[in-house]
Amino acid sequence: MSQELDVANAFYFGMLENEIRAAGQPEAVPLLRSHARLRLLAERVVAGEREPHIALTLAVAHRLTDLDIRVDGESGELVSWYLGFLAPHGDESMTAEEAIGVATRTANPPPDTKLEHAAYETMGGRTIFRARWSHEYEGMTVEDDFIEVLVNGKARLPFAMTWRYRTPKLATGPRP
Amino acid sequence: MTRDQAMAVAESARASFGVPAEFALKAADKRIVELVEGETKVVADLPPEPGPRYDLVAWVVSFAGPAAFVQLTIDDATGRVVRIRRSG
Repeated sequence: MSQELDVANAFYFGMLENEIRAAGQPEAVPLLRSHARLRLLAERVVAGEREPHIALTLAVAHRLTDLDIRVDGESGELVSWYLGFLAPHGDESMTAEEAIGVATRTANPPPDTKLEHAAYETMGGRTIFRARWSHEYEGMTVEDDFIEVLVNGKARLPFAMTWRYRTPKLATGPRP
Repeated sequence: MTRDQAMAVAESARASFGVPAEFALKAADKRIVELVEGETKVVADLPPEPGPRYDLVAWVVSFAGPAAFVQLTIDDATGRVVRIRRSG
């Protein structure tokens, strides 16, 4: 099947690229495939007067926004994500309690974390709700560990999360 | 090690780690810190060298001056300064 989809991609994007060049915007050609892609909806074998062939039904999917994700290079664990289109145009129409609820459901913070900050703030003209948890292990703060969620109060949705949480392996005896 | 003991260690070590004389001791917090395994010298400034990590119970003692600070991290068990962090 991938072979047929490759043919469809080559045909469709080749046609669009030719149209873009004809419209006098050849510099846009390299960007085209990062903004749209074909999505397979259905595949069927067509038998008729001609030799049987495969017909694909496709949709064109356009990219709406970037989703930035950072992953720990050693552990492979998710470090953060950021959904840019939800960041602007926030307000304080959502109550702090509701925003904490959104953030908590997003982060699902482990039991040994402590909510240390939860409030609206304005940064660069944007109003956001920030919830931040610290990590406490055996009664001590784990340095540099935190979980943070940013919420758009108008959209009532989270748009960013950073997760820095580890289970300490405390050294005993001679130091490594 | 108590907080007072940690502050005393930091005060006695500050000169050898280049903490300016005019910086005042502002805080001492007991934390779990992550250090790089095999690091024998003090890690000066961020970020630490890459490598295997281990955790340590330590006192982070902060000295502050005008628009700057220095933190000495002291091993709670041995009293050794294991890390220094400077702002800017």
